[in-house]
Amino acid sequence: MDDAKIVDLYLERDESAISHTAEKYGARLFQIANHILDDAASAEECENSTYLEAWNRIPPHEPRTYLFAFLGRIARHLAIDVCRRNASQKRQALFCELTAEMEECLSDGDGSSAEGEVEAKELSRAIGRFLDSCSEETRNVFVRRYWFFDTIPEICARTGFSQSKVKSMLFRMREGLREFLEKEGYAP
Amino acid sequence: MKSYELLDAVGGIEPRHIEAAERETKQNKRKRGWIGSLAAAACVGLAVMIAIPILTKKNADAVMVGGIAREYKDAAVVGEEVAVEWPWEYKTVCERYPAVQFEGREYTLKSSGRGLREETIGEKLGVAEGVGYDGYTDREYRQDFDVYEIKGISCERMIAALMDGQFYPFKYSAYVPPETFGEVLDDYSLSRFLTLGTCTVYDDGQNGGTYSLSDDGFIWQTLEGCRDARFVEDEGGGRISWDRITFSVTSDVLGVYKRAFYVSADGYVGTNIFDWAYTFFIGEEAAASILAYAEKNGVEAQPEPYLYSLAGTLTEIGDGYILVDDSILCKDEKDGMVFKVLTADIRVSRCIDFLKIGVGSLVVVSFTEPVGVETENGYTISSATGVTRGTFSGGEVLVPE
Repeated sequence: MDDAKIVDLYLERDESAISHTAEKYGARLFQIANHILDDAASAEECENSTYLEAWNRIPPHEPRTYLFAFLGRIARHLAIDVCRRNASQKRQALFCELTAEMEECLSDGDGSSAEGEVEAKELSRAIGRFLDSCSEETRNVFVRRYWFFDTIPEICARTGFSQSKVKSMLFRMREGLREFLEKEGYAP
Repeated sequence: MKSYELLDAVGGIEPRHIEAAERETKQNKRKRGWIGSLAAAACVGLAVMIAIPILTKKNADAVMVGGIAREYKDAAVVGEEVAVEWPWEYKTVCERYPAVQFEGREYTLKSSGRGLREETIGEKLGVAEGVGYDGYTDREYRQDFDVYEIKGISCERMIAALMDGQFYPFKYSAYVPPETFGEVLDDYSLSRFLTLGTCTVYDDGQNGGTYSLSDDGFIWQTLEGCRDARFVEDEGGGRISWDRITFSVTSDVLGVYKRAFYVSADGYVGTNIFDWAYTFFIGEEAAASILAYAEKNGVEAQPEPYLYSLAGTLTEIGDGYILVDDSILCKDEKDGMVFKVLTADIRVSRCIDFLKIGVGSLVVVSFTEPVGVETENGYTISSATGVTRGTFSGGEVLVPE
């Protein structure tokens, strides 16, 4: 079933919307959550919670043309939330690593912003503008790493690039993002 | 702004970026990474491989540090771990040249990065060209290396490259899955190079404990009878509710460290030792006999961490070693112990040097082998693979921000 029809089912409050969603995107949503949590049972919970969230958010949202991204964003958010609440080593490992990598995109200092709290949506837009300035190849690698939480070997498997190349691409992207954010006024 | 806010903000990027990254190119469609396809044990291996080494202590019970019992207080130490792209001068030779071109084919370094013993090396095959890249200077490097056969392993699958006087295992990097399990047995002399010793039992996907087998002869004999078992293409998505046993396997010859080799009750054998998800259907009967054998002969064992960790204060940086004192973690500081960590391996010394870790820093040392025998000078750790700064917490594990 195509995405627009699935969204129509949500809008019509037809519960089959959930089974169609699960059939089409369940495995991928599970993967997103499992990448973050590294725990099948919790990832499954997140996947199910994603359907509930989608049910609650459609309407008012009508993600006919971006249903996967819409669902994936919910799954990612829920999984990160679980990860933060849970202090187990296994679940936090990759999250810690990616958080640490993101640290490189910030200016030196104590981790606090001179401008105070940043509006998350505007920051997302700024990152989007930065991604638009990159090549498709590097952009996709960045998104696989920091949106999908793919590991370096997974990105290599997907792209055919060597680990060294992927690491270099990410390193440069983080450097680039740091400079970009500085120019945009997000860091002192 | 904090780093986790940045990671959150990445979550809010436009759908078109997400959709574009999710689309696979036709060229790579058949390629499947092994990570998503192997459940718990393999994931444990991976997670810890990339993880922050953490020593955590919730109770006043003994903590094992590389096999040494320590009485630590209720505390946690989190090691910083940043995916450092090391400058060229700080890379090992095989990190500099992780891929070589030989007779028009690309071979990539096996992940363990460990050298091969000379007795495993066969005839010289020729000369391969290594290609390296320094992200700091945007410079590409090329160097020729002699390449050799690895005794017992098909050159179509793996070769050894002689780099700075040490042989390293490289695998043919293209995705060419074997058609049958028999091909794997033959191409890699699997029963010779893989020991099925420590395993984890999973009951409906839940960890049912770790066991040790002293003899894997029966298992290999059974698997030899499954030579015609067909390769099963991984469709992704993963299967999460298996009854299975998963062996933690390490083989220097095959270039793998603590990877997974599983046998599931529904009749599958799978492994990630070849870097792709290789799965074969051997049938429920053969699988059942292997599981029954493991159940009958397995002796309960302690789970092995992927890497051992030691946390403490760096008290001395010497020529080829550092001293780490764990008093700060001890319930009674007088029980503190000083560990000598050998740093001849550049992977350790570069952490001290490049990351500028100084005397007085709280550090976390990762190492692969249990701590050696105590000498009059204390315990020595000779298998360290890295040192990072640690963050001390009196309670829960911290997430670095």
